[in-house]
Amino acid sequence: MTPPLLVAAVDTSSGWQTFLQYALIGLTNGALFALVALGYTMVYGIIELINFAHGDVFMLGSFLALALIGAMAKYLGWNWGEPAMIGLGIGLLLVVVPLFCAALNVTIDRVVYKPLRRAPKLAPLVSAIGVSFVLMNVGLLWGGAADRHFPDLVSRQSVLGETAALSFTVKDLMVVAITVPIMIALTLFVKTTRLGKAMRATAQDPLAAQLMGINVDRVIGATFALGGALAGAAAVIYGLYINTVSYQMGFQNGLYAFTAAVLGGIGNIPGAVLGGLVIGLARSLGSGYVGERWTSALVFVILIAILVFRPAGLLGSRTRDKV
Amino acid sequence: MTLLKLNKLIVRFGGLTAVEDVDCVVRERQIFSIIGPNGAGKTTVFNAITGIYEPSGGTIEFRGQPLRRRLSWQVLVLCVVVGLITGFGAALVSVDVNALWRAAIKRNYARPGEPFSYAAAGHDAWNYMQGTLALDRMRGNRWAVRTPDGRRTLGYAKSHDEAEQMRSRFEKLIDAAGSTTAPVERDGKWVVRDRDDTENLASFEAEADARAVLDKYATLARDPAARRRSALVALLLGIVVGSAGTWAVWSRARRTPEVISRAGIARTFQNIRLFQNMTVLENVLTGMDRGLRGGVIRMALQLPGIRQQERAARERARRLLGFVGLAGKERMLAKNLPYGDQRRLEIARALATEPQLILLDEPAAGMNPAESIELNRLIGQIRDQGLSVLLIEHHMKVVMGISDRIAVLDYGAKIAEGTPEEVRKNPKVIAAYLGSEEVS
Amino acid sequence: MSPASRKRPPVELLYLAVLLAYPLLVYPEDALFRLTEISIGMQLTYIFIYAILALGLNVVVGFTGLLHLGIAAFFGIGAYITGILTVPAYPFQLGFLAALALSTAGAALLGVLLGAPTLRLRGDYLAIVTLGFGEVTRFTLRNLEEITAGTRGLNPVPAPSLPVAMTVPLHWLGIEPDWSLDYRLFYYLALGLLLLVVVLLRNLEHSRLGRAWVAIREDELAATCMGINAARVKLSAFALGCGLAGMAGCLYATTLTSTAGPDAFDFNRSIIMLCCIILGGLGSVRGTLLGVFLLIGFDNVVAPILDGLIQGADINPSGNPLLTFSNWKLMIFGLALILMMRFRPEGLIPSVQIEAEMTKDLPGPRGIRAEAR
Repeated sequence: MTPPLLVAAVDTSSGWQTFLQYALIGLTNGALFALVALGYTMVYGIIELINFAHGDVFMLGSFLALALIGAMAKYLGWNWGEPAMIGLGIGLLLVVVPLFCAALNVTIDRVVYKPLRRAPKLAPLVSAIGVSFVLMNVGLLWGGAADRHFPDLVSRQSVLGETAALSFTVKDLMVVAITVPIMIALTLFVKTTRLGKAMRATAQDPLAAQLMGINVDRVIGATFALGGALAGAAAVIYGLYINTVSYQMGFQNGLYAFTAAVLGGIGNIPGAVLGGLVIGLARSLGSGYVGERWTSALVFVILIAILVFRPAGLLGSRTRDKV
Repeated sequence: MTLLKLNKLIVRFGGLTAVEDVDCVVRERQIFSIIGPNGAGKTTVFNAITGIYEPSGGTIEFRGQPLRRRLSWQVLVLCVVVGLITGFGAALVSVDVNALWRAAIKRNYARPGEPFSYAAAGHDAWNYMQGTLALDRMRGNRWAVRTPDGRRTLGYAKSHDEAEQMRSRFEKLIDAAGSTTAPVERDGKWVVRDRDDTENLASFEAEADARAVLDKYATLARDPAARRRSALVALLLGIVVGSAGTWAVWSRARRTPEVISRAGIARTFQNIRLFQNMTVLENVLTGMDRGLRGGVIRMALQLPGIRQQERAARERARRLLGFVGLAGKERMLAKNLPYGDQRRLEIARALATEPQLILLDEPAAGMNPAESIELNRLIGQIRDQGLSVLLIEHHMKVVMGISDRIAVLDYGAKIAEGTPEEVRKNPKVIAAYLGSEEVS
Repeated sequence: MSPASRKRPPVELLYLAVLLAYPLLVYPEDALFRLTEISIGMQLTYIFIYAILALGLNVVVGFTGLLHLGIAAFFGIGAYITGILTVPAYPFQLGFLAALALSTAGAALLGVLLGAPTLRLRGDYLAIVTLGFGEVTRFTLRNLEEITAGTRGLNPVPAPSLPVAMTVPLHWLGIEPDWSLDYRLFYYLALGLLLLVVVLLRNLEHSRLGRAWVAIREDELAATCMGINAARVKLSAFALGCGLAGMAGCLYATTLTSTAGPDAFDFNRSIIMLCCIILGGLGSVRGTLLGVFLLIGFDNVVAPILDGLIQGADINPSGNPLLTFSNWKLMIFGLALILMMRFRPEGLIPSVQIEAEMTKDLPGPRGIRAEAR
């Protein structure tokens, strides 16, 4: 047993240290949520649909990544033990899986949502739940009911050195190094490119956008593709970071991600990022200080509180009904 | 007498000004028309009056009153009640509901030979929150000293007095274990002293034993004061958040369309907003909603009073439908009505709310000339019943024929107001509106 | 509601007579049991209970147009309130009727607490809030293990006590006055409560409140402009729906003699109930009943039989997951939702169409002639 006084001294300093460590983990996790939340928020911004299937597209993406890792080792003789090969392999996954998810998302839109564009709002929403169930069942048949282990390819060594007060692993760094550039690229895309501007215009007023010669259908398709690709990227990172995937993870993470989107102000891209970070922080601080089992309740209470005090979300602005 | 008064009304959307400094006075039994080209901000004025938009500036008064829900003591009571509920909820969570339940309910119920009593449960719950160790009576008049939640037994005593002493010693020991006290050597033995170093609590042969005991009790030593403090903080935080939240939700709903409708202003919509899948009669009955009484249970049981009231309402609705010329179509679905009839049904629905002022948003849009003339007569009849009418119109014929006063809007600003004759001759009006479109 | 509908041959009464007579004619139950090895009477009891749950959901989603994705949570809350108030492990041990009333009131109160801050917001938010609440309730029931016994659930929930006066007529009907021996007591209890709920809901539907619900669903803005307090009307629908769910939960726990585990009240349960009312016809009481009968009947009776057949025919000796029926359940419900929304969004027995038909059946076709003008 250490001398009492010393314990007390370490305790106060480690109080801050623990807090910072939780915050760091929270922000890293939050970046991941933000990536999924962006897909929700973009689709909602354009067609005012909560795309319940988005989380399950994400889930199927991580299943695909898992299958690809196995297949590459088996058929291409890929050596997942060698750092260079790992990097290249992850790069490859980050191309293939987002493409798959984008294609899947666009297909869902074309087959299920598109015929319902003029239907009452409840119809596409209920259909989205239906798609979510179908995809979940696909995941169940593909991966089984139990949790699957996802290969632990990235090192858990701290980049700050073993002696540093805080730990920030290579894994954490990977999450940040992939998500942050993606978010910056997305923001630039939406702000500067023609398609991005068309997306913003359509989100503002689909009818006016159509009158201005914007092909609204193409814009919607592009939005679904982009959202799907983001979910795919998130799926790869999630698998590598958390190392467990299951057919139900789409539902659970989708719920958190959508909450993040609502928190930030739905339809608002920086809002989704902010919301993701807030949720990540709340979850990690909550599990550190309140208890792991109460984190989801805590996130829910935060959501209700934000909706009460800022109904349009943290960064959202109030919209008006058209009369 | 003045009914509606707009004073420097401004409505902005973002940076765009839709309506700027519009003044307007509608008197009783008056037909007042607002005309102007498309995009002049006429419907926006309507929406501002009926509470759909919050005005960015200026005032709207109806019979000398601003149209706002009044602050009543019920609202304040509600704030306090919701605050207390959230506060107690938060405090319960912070003291650990599981442990509280075990301490207050399960432990009491499991006590042999004693019937469960809520008083004892309450007492135990209080003790748990205080962090006091619990005393349980066992068989044969033996007593057990337990942790506050009753989960772990610390020791047994033969009588109540002995148990009390044991409890106080354990409490001191736990207190010491949670502080920075270390065992000290006295006369060849290792003793644990209490926190204030006044008394020997336990003595051991070896230092390791003493340390082991301290470690064992350290896990129990969650500072009761700190726990009380966190429960209190949770309680206060819950009260503040709960009541502030209730206040925030209420204050956002102070100027809703419903409040304004209840004050006596009814309206129709430019692009018809009937309840499409309800019957014509039901549409009108919905307009009567606020005049009908009865709680959920009375309605569920269809008590005689409710039935009678419903019959009377139906009778009145039929008369109203007859008044606007829709007699015999009560059972049709609103969406199956022809266009002109839908407009008339909207008027009937608005009249059903028993307004003093009715706002008609382009009622003649899409009507043929014969229907238009019919409509004119209807509007005149509405005025003759003692109502005022505020009318937005495109059809100049309608407006000129029946209006008592006309205001002309252009680009969100009022450019002229007066009797139909005055407006017709106003050069600004001719330039802005009449000259370019139809001159009658 | 209208004279036209009253003059129709009362088909519902026929169904009711069949349902009332089924358990008394012992033969069909026995024959079906030999055929399927499932007690159809017991399954019908559960169908009645789920019908109450679905009717509650129908008030919120069908009448008022608010998408409620967490109805199972209120079902579970009702079950757990009943469990806590009645099991012998706790000192309260109330009777069935008190537990029924308190479960209903407790679930309704929680519904109000959840709805009050969120019902004024745009509709989509409610979907996510109710969905989140459903999940949080499930986790909370699991975490409060001192109170709820964690994943095991509380049991045994005691059966209601029979009034002494009932024993003679029951004996006369050939029913054992023991709840655990004879399913028919629960059968008639559930059927009776369901009938009561249906009658009360029909009355409400055709009252001021029912009109206000539908008006809000059709056009909330126009409804508020007509002086309807949208927040209050939505809250009443929400409270009533959640309260009925709590009532169904109490009945469920009593029939099952256990609260089941928290996972019995998960998102899937909510979605299955949503499927029921969408299949039957949103906003239509008759449709809801039909939807529950078809879907819960499929889930509880047809699916196990099919699984049994597959097993019995030895098609699947290696235990391939693709070949067990229950592994396709999510897919079937999902596809049902998608296809219904695409091709028949109004459901099998839509409420609106009934009214439209009634208009055509009018003796004096003045309405139609006027339309042709």
